[in-house]
Amino acid sequence: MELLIQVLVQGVLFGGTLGLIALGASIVYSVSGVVNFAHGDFMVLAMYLTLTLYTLFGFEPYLSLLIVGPLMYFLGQAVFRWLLRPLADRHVLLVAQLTLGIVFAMQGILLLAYGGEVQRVPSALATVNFDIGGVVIRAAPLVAFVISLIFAVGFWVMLQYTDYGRSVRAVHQNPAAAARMGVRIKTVQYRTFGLGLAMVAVAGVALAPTVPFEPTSGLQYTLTTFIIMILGGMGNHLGTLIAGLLIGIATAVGEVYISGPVGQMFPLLLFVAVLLFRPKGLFGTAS
Amino acid sequence: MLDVEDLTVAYGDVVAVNSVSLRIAEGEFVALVGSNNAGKSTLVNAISGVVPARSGTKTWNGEVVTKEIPEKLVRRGIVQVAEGHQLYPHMSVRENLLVGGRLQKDRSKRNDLMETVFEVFPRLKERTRQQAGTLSGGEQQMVAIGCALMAEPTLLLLDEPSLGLAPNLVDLIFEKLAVLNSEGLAILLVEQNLELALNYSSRGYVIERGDIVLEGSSNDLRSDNRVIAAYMGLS
Repeated sequence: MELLIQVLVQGVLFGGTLGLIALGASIVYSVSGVVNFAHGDFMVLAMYLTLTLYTLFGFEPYLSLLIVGPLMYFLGQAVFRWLLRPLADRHVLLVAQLTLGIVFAMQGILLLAYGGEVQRVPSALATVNFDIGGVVIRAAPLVAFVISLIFAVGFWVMLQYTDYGRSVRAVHQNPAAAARMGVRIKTVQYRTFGLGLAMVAVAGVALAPTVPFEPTSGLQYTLTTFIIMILGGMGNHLGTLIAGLLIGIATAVGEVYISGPVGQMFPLLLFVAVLLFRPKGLFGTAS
Repeated sequence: MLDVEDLTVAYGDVVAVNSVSLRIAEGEFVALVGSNNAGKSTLVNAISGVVPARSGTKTWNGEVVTKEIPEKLVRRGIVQVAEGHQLYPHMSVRENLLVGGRLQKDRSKRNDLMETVFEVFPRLKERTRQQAGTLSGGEQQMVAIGCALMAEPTLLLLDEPSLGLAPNLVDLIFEKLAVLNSEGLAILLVEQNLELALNYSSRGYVIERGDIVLEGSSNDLRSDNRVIAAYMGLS
């Protein structure tokens, strides 16, 4: 019983951050239809930036949010404006191909700059544990979860109650009408791409002290992101968050109860099983 | 107020609007009629800036606005009602209206604007929290017009507002447009239903295959033999 609770806690904590990562991709997809294969690699880039700030200036990893977040926001705008936007009217696979190219470029740059070894950003919190009735909760994943939750809720509030948020939803639901009402669709698109990268950067900073990373770690997160997005129903933000928690739990269950390659496959098996019965995902609506 | 001169719009090699000139004075109710694919929608989309013009000029109160993006034109008061009735289906009526009024940053003014929309369409006030996608066709058309009114237009562009609506709702919508017009709002109405359009407008243009072939007062157009032969005979 204690083991089960332990597994669930671990799964939920990790799943919360996975949800935020997927939310960043989901919002980009919803306004521009871009499927970004470099999504996970941008997170790894944020992790390396956190590492750099730590090694150069001794920055407490969690505080580097304040620098890495905005940095990635502007990087995202630049990438969308100068790399993705020129291809936007072309075939969707061209854009996907380009993001795949960004993956290899970034992996190469990170490898050159930092070498191939596995890294982790030291934090004072890394060794702090709480023991609650036999269930051990490590502080660092808990902090990562809380940070992710705060940003996910903040994102939701922004989407619901601000002019920018309503514009994002308008562009998603009816771009033709939005254009006629004078919404600058391109501006919404690249701001949103910037925001998506800022969100994945927040997740990267939050994970950097607890999850080891190397230049090639990104693709794994990208694949998990796609699985979560599809599971939650493409473009459904709340569904995406919940699917993130589910995949987090499935990952933990697979690691602890099944172990080995089959255990690692457990989230994928769950994913396939869900799609067999709900092809549009758990919370997808026919549209 | 609005002066369109020799405006040409083309999609690739296909010319949709061919060197068209059109004028709308302050507070005027102008109809643009013609058969399917005559270029009516393209012309309206070019006026609102959604579709770029290949050549020609648009002048608004003496200023050339040919190359301006829709947002700027909306700020100037040229506002197009989104077509197809379906607005933002998963947003509430209130949120839909707020998207229309987002350029007005003063919250209290924005609320005043919304109250004005509710005075025009009281039915929307009962439905502020309802998702737009669950409204009836007529109510969705009211939201679409309401969204445009939230942007404080001086010229309202409408593309087939009668499309798919029951006759009594068409009458209701057009009565409201007539009231708005009598309060000083200029209207450019694209309509396939010629009789309806000429009944409510004071002046009209007949467009055929991208060319304006006739223009004149709506009364004259209604009794013009060519118009009767081409359009009225069918109805």
